[in-house]
Amino acid sequence: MALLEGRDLTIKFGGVLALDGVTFDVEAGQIFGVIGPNGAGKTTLLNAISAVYRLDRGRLRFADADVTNVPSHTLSRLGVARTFQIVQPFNHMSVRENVAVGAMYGHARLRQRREYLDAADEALTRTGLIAKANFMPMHLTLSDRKRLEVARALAMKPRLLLLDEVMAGLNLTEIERMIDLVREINAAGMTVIVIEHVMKAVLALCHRAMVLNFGRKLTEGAPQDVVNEPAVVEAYLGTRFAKARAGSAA
Amino acid sequence: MLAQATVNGILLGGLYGLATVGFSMVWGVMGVINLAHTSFITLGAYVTYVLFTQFGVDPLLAMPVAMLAMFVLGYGIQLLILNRIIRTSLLLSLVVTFGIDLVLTDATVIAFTSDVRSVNASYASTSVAVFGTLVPLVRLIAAGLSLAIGIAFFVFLRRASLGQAILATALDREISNLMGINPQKVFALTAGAGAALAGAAGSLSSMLFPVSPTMGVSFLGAVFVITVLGGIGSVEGCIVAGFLYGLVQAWAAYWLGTNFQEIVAFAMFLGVPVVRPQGLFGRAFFGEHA
Amino acid sequence: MSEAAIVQQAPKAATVRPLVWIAVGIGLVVLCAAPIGINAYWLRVLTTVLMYVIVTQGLNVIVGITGYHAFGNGVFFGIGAYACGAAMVAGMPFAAGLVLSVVVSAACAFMLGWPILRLKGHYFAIATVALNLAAIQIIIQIGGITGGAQGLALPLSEWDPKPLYIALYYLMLAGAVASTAVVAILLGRPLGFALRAIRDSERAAAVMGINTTKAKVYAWSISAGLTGFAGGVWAYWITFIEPSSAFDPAVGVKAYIMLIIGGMGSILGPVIGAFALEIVSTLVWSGFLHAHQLVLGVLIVVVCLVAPHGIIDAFARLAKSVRRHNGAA
Repeated sequence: MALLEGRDLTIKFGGVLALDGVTFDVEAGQIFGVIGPNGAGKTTLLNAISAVYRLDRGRLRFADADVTNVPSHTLSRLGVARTFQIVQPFNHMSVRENVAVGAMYGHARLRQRREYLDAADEALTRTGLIAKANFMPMHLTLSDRKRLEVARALAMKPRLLLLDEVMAGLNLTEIERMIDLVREINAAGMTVIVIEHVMKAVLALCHRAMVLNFGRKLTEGAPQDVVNEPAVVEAYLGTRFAKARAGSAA
Repeated sequence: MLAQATVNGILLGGLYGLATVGFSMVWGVMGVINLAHTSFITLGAYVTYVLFTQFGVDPLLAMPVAMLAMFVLGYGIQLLILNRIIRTSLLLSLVVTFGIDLVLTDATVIAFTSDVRSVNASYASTSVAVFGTLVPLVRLIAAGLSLAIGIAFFVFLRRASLGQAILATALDREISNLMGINPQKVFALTAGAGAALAGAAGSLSSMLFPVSPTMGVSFLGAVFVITVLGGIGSVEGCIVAGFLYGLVQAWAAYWLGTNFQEIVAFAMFLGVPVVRPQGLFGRAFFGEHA
Repeated sequence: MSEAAIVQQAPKAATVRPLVWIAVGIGLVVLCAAPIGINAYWLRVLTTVLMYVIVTQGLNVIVGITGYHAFGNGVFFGIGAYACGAAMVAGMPFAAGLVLSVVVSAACAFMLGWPILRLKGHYFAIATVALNLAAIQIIIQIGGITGGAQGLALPLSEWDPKPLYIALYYLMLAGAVASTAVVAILLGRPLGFALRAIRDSERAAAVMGINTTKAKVYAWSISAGLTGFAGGVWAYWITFIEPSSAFDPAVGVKAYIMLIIGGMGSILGPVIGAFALEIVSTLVWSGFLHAHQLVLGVLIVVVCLVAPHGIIDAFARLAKSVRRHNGAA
């Protein structure tokens, strides 16, 4: 039994099928990648999994419980935590307070001041932000704000972590550091779903990857295999390029 | 009697619609809820009154003058005060415009006293037969002109380049800016136009209702409901919703009594955002899928 | 902003804290002693100021902390007034009437909150105004024990006016202190964090496990309870209430302006704002008898232009720019 099971996930926006019958499993302890060209539906899928969007069709199971269309706060309490692609810090709270909210209201549900502050500090230490605990989010660099998103999610003590293009906007060094962080988190036992554009990160981190295109699942498998599949190349780079590549390989 | 109420309601609705267009546009284009909007209606009426009593100008001819005066006032207020507030905090506009309304209303009281005035055109007592009911000519003219002005503004927005600039800014301020449209000027223009339309409504109202410093306030409820009902920022929405509102109010008064008119208005006002937030003609946002 | 500048902020906060407590202490002592020295007119003014502290703190909970701009929150002032009034006309003592003021107001917010708090931004602000105005009509329709359009006369106290007004002053003072304490306590508890999170990013708050609808409804109920208390005391004080005065939208609007002046979401902001606006209004009223609305309007516009985040913030920024100017020289 997989930790997360998605069956026939479908979401329509007006006439557009943003997600078209996507089916997948994520095993506990895995780092599962979701890749695909722009507009493929990756963020929509993430929003569906974190109950930000309602499913028009399909079922979602988390830890063997049916969580189809439960409110997002319920899903969070069950153990799902996510970051946002465009970071959404609580701008009027300090970094520590931001993370403490996660400890208070997430799966951890710590209500004693000492407990949630300690949990916050622990998450901040793991993400390397402890020195900036009293800063306000607007004074952080983008890289640190992304780490803040991760720290907030970690403080919730989730069982499943969803990272929404956490590498976007980072330079090479920052990407390396973030890859290390995700690896550490996973090594400690966390299941992670990674929505990513940065192929380097996908190849370095993911045990399995799924490719979306036009809202549909194209293929799934080990990342190295998946990125070389002709259909995937075609989806990202276009038919002519794929043909040319296939032609030159022949 | 029902026919009489129905016709009256529709005609009044036309005037309400005109009174609302400016308010709705300002809200739609720049997100400002202008609580001083009703004082533009009042001032439009007073300009007409002064021209009528001091210079013998027919109210219908005084209307363009009132519109121009209100345009300048609205433009100036936006440029000098509201443009700066928008940058700080949008909801502050509720408070600032409340203050502006206090100033304008009190200034009117100081200038004209609270006495009630009237503008009685020579044709004020003429009535016309419409669908078997007797309708004062001025009401018919007011409704007709309201509709005409509303349609003219609608066409202006879609055809004239200035109008298109306004629509573009309402749809996407950032991109419009990048395409060379100066949002500050567009805001001022929209505010000016909005005030002018309110002034027109006030001018027409002066022929129908007693003129007093608080006459604009009596439009406040209608303006809010019609804006929300028609869809914020939609001119066609205001026109249609205006007639609808006038009709519903007339029927409510006819069947339930005038006390219930207010409650019906509030029910419409609270009900629309819950049932269909975008109103009749407004645009829904696809991001809010959950 | 450089890291050095940020580090500088921390020590400043440590020195400001004790000063604030001392100022609060002195203020409380002065307010407790006030009735002894001042005349009836200023006693009335101060009582009104304290009443507005309560109403503004109530507003602070839903607007300042939660970010839901309830422009028509004055509706709970009226509900509190009528709850107390109706209870006393029915024979209950003032204390019971006050309890009802709080309970009924909070209950109304609790019931209305579930649908209305789903509205966002401007829609919510205006829906509360509609509520405020609709309440006037509803009371008129209900009639009966509320007195409807005729108004409601509360049973008069047996006390002499002078000691009665002083007692009511202390009651308002207690309410002002209590409401400020409620805000201070709320900010330290998980609910306070949840509300601040909702204000900054409701989406993020929801995915972090906060039941945003429930939190907002609780916030509005607390807000309503505080506001209702003020209304209840006011009703007994003024002895005659009618729909248009009890549900006067100006009450909510004034409180909103006081909140802006004092600074939203802060503990002492409403106190500062209430004192500032009410004292200035009173002085303006006596100074500009004929044009006081106009002057008030101008003041409001000026405040919004000059200090949109509150007086404290404006002074802080002014101080910072002066310091920078001197430092650079």
